[in-house]
Amino acid sequence: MSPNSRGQANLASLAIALVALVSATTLGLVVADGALANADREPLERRAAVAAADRVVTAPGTTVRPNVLDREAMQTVGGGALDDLAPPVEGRAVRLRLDDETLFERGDPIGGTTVQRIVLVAESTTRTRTVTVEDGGSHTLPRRTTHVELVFATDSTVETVRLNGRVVLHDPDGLRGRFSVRASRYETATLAFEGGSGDVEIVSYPLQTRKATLRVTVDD
Amino acid sequence: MNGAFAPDSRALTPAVGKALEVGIVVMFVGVMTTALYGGVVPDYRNAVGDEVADRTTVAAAERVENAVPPPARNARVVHRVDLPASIRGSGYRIAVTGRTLVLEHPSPEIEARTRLALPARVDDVSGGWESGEDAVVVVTGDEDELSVRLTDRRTVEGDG
Amino acid sequence: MTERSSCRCESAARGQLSISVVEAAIGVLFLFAATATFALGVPDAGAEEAQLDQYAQDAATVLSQEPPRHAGATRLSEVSRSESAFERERDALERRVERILPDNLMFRVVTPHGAVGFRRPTDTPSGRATVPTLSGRVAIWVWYA
Repeated sequence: MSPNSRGQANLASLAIALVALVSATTLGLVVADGALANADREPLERRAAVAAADRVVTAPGTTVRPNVLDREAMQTVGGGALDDLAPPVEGRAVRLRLDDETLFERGDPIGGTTVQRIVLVAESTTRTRTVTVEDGGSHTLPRRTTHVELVFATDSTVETVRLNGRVVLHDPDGLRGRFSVRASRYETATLAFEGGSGDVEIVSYPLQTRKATLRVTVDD
Repeated sequence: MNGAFAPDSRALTPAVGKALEVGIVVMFVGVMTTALYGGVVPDYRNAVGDEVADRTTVAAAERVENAVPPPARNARVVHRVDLPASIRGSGYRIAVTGRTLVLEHPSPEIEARTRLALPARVDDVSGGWESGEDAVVVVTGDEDELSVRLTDRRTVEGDG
Repeated sequence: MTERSSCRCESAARGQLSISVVEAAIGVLFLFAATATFALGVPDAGAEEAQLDQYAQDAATVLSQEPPRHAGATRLSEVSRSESAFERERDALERRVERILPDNLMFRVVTPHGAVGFRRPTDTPSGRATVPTLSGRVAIWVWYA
C-alpha cells in the first residue's frame, strides 16, 4: 500500500465528489426553476380572461342571445366597454379576436392566458316576398324569424291572418297597410289568410349565423 | 513497535490529509448553505408566496362576487370565506379600496390585487380580513341597494 | 524527498473504493431524489379541463337553441324524443356538432337513445356538459384530439 498515492487519490476523489455535488445541485435548481414556472397558473390573468369572455358571450349589449354574438355590436366594442363589462380586465393588456379578426387590442398581451369560447355570429337579414293569397290560403316561412311584417296591397280584401292557428290580425273591412306580427324563434311560422284575397308583401328577418371562435387574451 | 522512523516520501501525512479533507468538506457545506439560503431559497419562497397570494385573492374575489344574491326585497347573506392561515410564513391582510380587492403582505414582493365584478346594485364595499380569523362576507340590502362587508364571524354574531 | 506524481491508486488493488466516491454517489442520489419530487410535480390539468368544460357547455348551448330539422322545439329535443327519431337524425347531429366544434376537438354526444361521436378516451382530460330535454339528459363530452 503506497501511502502518498492514497493521500493524493483521496484528495483528488474528494475534488471530483465536490464537483459532482455542485453540478447535481445546479441541475436541481434548474429543474426547480422550470417546475415553478410550470406551476404558475397566472390566476389573476385567467380570472380577467374568463370574466371578459363570459361577459362578451352572455351580455345583452353584445349578443342576440347567449352564445350568439351580434355582428354590428362586436365591431364597435372598445376598451371602455370591455372594462365596464368585465372589471377585472381593467389596467391589463387585452386582445379580443373572433376567428382571425382582431376586434380590439390594448397593450401587448403576448404571453398571457387565452380563453376560447365557441359562438355563433348573427347577422340579421331581410327576406321579402310578395305572394298572392286566396281565401284559405297559407304561406310557410322557411326560416324562423322573431317578427314578420305584412304589407297589404290597396285592393286586397283579406280579413283575417292567422299565425300557426292563432289569429293575429283581423279587420272585417279588409286589412290595409303595414302590420308587424310577432313570431317565435322556436316555431316555424305558417301564415293563413282568410276572408278574401289579394297581394301581400311578407317581410321576415331571419338571422343568418355562422360559427366562430372567440379568443380573449389577457396579460398583466 | 518499530524503533526506526524512516523518512518517507509521501506528499502529505495522513493526519494533514484527513484534516484538509475535513476542512474542505466543511467549507464546501458552509459555502453551499450560505449561497442557497442567502439568495436562492428566499427567492423561491417569495415566488411561491406570490403565487399563493394570487390564488388566494382570486378565490376570495370569486367568493365575494358569488355572495351577491339576486334582487330581493330584504336580503341578508353571510358566506364563509376560506383563507390560508399564512403566506410565506406570516399573516397577511385583505382589504378593499374602491372596488378592488388587495392582499397586503409584510414582504414587499408579495402583493396581489384584482377588481371585483359586482352588479350596479351594489352600493358600497367595505371592511377587510385578517388571516387567521373566521372570515365572512356579509351582503345586506334591498332590490336597489346592496352593501357588501368583509368581516369576521364574531362581529357578525355579535350584531345578531 | 521525492514525490510521486502519478497516482497509482493501489487502493483498487486492495478492493476498497475511496470513501469520498461513495459519499459523493450517495449525495448525488439524494439530490436527484429531492429534485425528482418536484420535477415530476403536479400537472396542471385544471385549466385545461376548465377550458374543455367550457367548450362542451358552449356546444350544448348552441345545440339546444337550434331549430330542428323536422319537428319538435329544438334539434336536441327532436333527436332525443324516440329511438326512431334518433336513428333518423344521428348523422345530421354528428355533422352539426362536428361543424360547431373547432377542428382540434373530438366529441361524443350521449342521448337517452344512443350516442354519436368518437369513443371517449380514459387517459386524456375531457370536458362535459349536459342539457336536460323532455326525454332525458343529453351529455356532450369533448377532448383534445
